[in-house]
Amino acid sequence: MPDGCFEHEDDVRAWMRDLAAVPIIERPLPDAHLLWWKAELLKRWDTQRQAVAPIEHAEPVHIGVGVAGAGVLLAWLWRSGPTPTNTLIFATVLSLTVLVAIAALAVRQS
Amino acid sequence: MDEPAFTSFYAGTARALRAYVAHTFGDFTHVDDIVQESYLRVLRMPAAPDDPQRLRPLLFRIASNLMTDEWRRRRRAAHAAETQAFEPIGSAPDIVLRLDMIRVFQHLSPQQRQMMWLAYVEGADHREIAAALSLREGSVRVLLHRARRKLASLLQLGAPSGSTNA
Repeated sequence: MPDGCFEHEDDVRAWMRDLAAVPIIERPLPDAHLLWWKAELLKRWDTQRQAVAPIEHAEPVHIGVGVAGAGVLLAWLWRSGPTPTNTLIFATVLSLTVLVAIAALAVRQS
Repeated sequence: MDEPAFTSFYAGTARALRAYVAHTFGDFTHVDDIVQESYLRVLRMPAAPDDPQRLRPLLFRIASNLMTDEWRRRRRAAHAAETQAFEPIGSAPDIVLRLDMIRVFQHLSPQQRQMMWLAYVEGADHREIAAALSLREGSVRVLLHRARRKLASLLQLGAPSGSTNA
């Protein structure tokens, strides 16, 4: 809103009017039709993202429960099985390593 | 908003919005990106008003926020010095005068450029400027007066050459 009390008001207003008349971009405006369809596409993506958001949020929980369950199962097998042998120790360590690797990979991808 | 309504709204606002962004942003290359993003955000808003008279201030507010975000991002990245100068179209000697006008305007701060443009070119009142720039109405009164005084002094004394506030 211009200020009538400002002593240089007329100069400033005239200068701003001249500035606004300076054409600085030659290329045509973006096409309204394309903008409309781009917005429609983005809205669909937004809707899809909202729909799968609960699944994505629950994924780390699923992985955590799976890894914990596998760990408990291994511990139970270890305690209830025969005397530990080198083969059993190796199999247990390998299983745990594979479980942790799978969990880390799944968390990174989610 | 359906497509014909948007096309009509776009036809009535796009040139004004691009002029606003081009003159106040300070970087010629990203003007159309900001203009496009402003329209896309308006279109994606779930509760955007259908009335063009209510939608227009919202559009300018979104564009102002996008410019502010970009200025902040550039300040953080310390790339402000890399912004490109405006290259107004036209032929000499008129182009020299135009370039001088744009350079003088760039000596105002980004916020002062936005306020001056909204006040004098868009004809926005203090309330509308406050809404567009996320400021209090009382602050706009003071800040706009300072911007006027600064521009007047630049016009009377001549803007110092060198750095800009872009």
